[in-house]
Amino acid sequence: MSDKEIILKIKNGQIDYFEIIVKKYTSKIYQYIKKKVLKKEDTEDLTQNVFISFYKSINRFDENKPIEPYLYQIAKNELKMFYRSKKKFFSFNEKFYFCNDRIKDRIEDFIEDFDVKMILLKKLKKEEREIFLMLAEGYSYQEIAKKFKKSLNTIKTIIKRGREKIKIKYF
Amino acid sequence: MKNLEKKIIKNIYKIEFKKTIFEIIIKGLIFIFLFFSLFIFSSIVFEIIKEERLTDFFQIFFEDKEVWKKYFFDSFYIFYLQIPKVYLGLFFLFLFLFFGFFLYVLKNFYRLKNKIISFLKFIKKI
Repeated sequence: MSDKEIILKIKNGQIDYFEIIVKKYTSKIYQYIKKKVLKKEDTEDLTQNVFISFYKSINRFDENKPIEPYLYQIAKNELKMFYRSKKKFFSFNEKFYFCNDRIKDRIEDFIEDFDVKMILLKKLKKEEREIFLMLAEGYSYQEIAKKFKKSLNTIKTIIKRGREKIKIKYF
Repeated sequence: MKNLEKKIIKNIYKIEFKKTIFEIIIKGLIFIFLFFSLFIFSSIVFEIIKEERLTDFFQIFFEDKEVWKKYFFDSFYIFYLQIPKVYLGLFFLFLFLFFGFFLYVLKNFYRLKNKIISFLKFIKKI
């Protein structure tokens, strides 16, 4: 049965068909969130929230469109809200901060340490720090550019320079 | 992963169950309100028609054509002055709302039926 048929059945009140969507996409959404969130409980909660949000909006969902990208978008939004609610402890996605695997390997052991994150960010300028924090919270480059009222290329340059600073200073 | 899936499905059913119960209660209250209002206004209108003997107007249709032509507009004018316009208006309004709501509920009844069947299937599984 295609996703379109499943959505139509759910819209008609046959909510038991939602189980098929849950079984099909839970693992993908879980793995996606797991990379960005440290605790298992938070990952599970966020995964649940994704499907609950999807279910609540299912009557507005266009059954002709694919489900998977929509679920990923909901997951991104859930992650944003999650990071905002936990301002002190943010997901330190090293991809935003480091340019190569050698550096990543060196600090991988203590990268979970909150103090290390703060030290690394301390040497950046205020604006650079704010940009990196927004990146860690899941904001896209476009959203950051809009917030700081700068062009996309300027934001990319600031991020690149920030990464270089961290690399030079500490490694 | 299976435990997580079961948790998600259980939460979905919880949410939908609460939503459905709320919907049934609200629709029930609206139905009772409309039915009760219709009953009250229809009683008032029929009581007034009975007291004022307004049904006498319709007897003109059983008279000769000449009588009908001569007295119809006068009789109709008197009839129009005497009918309880406000109550009659409200009666027709609630009649329209009642049947409109009834048709709406009937149209969406299959959805509610499907939901209830899904709930029963889920309860059986547990």
